[in-house]
Amino acid sequence: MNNSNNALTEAVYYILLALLSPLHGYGIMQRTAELSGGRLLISAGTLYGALSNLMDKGWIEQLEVVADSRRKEYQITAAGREVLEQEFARLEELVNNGKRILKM
Amino acid sequence: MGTTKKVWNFFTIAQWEEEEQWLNDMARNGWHLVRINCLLRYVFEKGTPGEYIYKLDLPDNLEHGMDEQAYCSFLAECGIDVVCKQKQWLYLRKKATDGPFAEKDDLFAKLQMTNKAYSYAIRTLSMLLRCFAVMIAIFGIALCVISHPYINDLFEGVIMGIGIGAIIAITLIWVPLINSLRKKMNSLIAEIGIKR
Repeated sequence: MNNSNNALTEAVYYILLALLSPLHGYGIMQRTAELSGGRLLISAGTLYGALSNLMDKGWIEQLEVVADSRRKEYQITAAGREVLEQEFARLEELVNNGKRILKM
Repeated sequence: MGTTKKVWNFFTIAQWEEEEQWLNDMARNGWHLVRINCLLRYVFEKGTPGEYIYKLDLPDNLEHGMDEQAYCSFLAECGIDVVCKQKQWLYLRKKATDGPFAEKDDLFAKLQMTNKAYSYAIRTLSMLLRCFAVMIAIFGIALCVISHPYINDLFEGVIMGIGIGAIIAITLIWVPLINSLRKKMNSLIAEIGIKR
């Protein structure tokens, strides 16, 4: 599956970035808010939907549930990391072209 | 248990933003929604003004095979209470000090919500149509089986009544509702084409 031509949404980009280290749902919301300087606030409903979609795509996986903890933790997969790197390259191209032409 | 008050109010499937606004206005004045009775009587409990913020949610459990219990415990983990459930809508609240539910004017989230409300409206309409069809069929069969002039006239009247009722309900209520949701979706899609 080649997704190199498809831009990720901002929320998915930040969720994948956040999941470079394992986190549970609420941790992802806090981390993405922190990474974006409080700008990106992902709603619980959006996050829930995004996590199940990303799992279906195999970009993230659920970690083994610890016996006495009911909270599920998630982590990025190798495929997810590849998608993230492709998106990074795409964003870099956008920024570089902007810089060159706007002379900023 | 503190002071409560009950307020009757009605919002259509297309008016969840108005309903949310109203619940948040009530909360700002210290009236926090605790449940909704049948007949759409909203029950509020007196509390600290502005302690909670409210949000309506319509989880599409059908499409994603979403397990409602798992979703509710996920919400609890995020500091969100499910206050009550009315039809398929969830009424959520959280402490205002924990920050807003999401960023305001998230076009994509608005589009998703409108789309969910739209499919919900269509599902409800098709269910309604099936109910009418079954009722008409039952009276129709009864009409063929029973041959008593008085009962036959009565059943014919009932069939006519159900049929006319269905046509009025669909043209006056459902068609405008579904149209307004469709228009809202189209304008959001047009806007998302420009900015996200």
